[in-house]
Amino acid sequence: MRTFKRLFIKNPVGMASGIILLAYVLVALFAPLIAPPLPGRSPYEIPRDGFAIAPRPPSPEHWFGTTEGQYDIFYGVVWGTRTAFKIAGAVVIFGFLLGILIGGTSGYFGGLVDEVTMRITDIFLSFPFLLAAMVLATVLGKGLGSMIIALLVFRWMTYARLARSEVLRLKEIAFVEAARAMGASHRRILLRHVMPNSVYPALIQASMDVGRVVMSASALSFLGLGVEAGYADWGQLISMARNWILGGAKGAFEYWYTLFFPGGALFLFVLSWNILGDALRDIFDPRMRGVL
Amino acid sequence: MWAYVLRRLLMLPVTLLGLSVLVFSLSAFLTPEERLMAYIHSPLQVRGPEVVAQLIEKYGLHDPWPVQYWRWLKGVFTGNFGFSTTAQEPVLDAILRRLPATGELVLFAIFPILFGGIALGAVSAAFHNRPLDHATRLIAIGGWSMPTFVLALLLLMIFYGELKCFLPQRLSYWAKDVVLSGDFIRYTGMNVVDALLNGRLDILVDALRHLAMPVLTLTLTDWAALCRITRSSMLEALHQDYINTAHAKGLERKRVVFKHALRNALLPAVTYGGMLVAWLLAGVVITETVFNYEGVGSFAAAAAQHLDFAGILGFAMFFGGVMVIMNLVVDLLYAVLDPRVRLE
Repeated sequence: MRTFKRLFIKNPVGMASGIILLAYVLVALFAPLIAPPLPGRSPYEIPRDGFAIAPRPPSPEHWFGTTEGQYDIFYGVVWGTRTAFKIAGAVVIFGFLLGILIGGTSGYFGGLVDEVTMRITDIFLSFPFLLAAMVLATVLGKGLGSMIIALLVFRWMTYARLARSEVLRLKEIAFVEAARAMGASHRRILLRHVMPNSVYPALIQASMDVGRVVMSASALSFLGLGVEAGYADWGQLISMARNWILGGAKGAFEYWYTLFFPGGALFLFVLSWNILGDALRDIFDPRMRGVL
Repeated sequence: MWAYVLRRLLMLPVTLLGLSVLVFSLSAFLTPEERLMAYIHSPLQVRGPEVVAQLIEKYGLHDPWPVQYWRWLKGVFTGNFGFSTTAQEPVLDAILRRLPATGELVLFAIFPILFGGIALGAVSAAFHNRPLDHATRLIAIGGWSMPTFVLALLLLMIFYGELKCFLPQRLSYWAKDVVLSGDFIRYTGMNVVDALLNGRLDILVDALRHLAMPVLTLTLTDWAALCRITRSSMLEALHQDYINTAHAKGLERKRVVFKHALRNALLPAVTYGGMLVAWLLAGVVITETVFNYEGVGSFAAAAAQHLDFAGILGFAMFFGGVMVIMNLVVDLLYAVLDPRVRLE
């Protein structure tokens, strides 16, 4: 409760970001009411109004206009919110679990296990994340599932390191020794005593990662390695704007809406998560206590 | 200390070896037919299933992947990283030829990022919780949250589409003709440097107009993290006892902040330097792609999109090597700057 108060009430920027995130959650939850899908079609398929190539500006039928190939931008942005939450949720939660499991085990057993695990972690870390995801996404083919796997495989290392250093600190503390003295098994000590107490730094990191995960996923879609054509996804809508960025006869900004709405939705989403993560970190970072 | 350096350098081949196994094993997800795609440059080459089978045999794509990996590894020891089908030349040549372009880009971006980030972080901390601090933090987090490709497209729209003052790619056609002609000597491959050395101011201006947008993109998206780190370590430093002592001695505030505190606050920023290079190299992949800037980054993106595994492996080795060496340099720098750190 005190955390909540410091996060939102005492911090106007934090409150603004909280409200924006809440709005995104509501849009994602009520997507079927805000932008009703066509009957008999997958709701993630953006409806098209004809097949003309050039985008059309916002109008009463298409609030945000249509992008290349007459895909409705408003519909894509609304359902893209769901896509963003799905990707972020799956990647961050599974990456986090994988990370603390690997890092926690490594730190708890120490010695050779630790050395080998940490070297493997280093190898994963020395491969540029985006490129790794690009290769994996290309190998696995298009689609939401393969995109999530591609992002996940190279997303656990930071959590592993954070959890490991926490476990290294904790395992010397009295309550773990007490559990060991009482004859608890390794598995029990690790899963019941050490891990639950070592997740906080990794948890804060996870909240800070949500924005970046969605950003990387959009980058994959932007490069044509993400979701299938026509799937509601911000990155895909932005990549459709690419051919129209220099405008036409009416000047460079003629097709501004093709970039503005999906780009704005993505930016605001990432920004709000980053502000939230930043505020959380400031509160939990013991070095910053008393300073702020 | 030298033993430490030596041990770290010995780890370099181990890391690169592991990295190459990792990347190579990804290719095991593909069928031989799919892997063959990377070797085909024209549909005319594959007429009928017999030809496909022949080609698969020729490139040894049916062999188990350890065998294929070993073949690649043997090549590496003789300086042969394989043939990149996206670049239509050997991987090593492809990377070396594009390296000056990316180097130029990173060099131009790194100074505004370093100095801008550190200066704004220090100012932000010195004016803690005042309007200047809030403004800096907001701009920083805004830049940090801006997707590279959205910013790049926005810049293209404004500076190329509307104002026509900055241009994509590396050089205009007329300038390319000059640079590729015999009279223009390519000393470094970096257009700006070469133009200066050749005394061609028109080429220099043209090169700068093409560099402006990618440099701006990298700078705006990457300085924020450095600003944040400097700010928080600066805040920590400003609350130390020795700062109070300095104030009590009657030193002027400017001197205390920028001499006493900043010097100690710079240490975490140094650690961040290694990460910064990594981020810049990842950033160039998208930046170069959007601006059609022919460098290592756009090559890597194209290789990944076309499953050109030779090209991807080559870039991974290059990137991994840079990372390991940067981290070593950072650790050494840290030990030099902070006498409390002892390397064992």
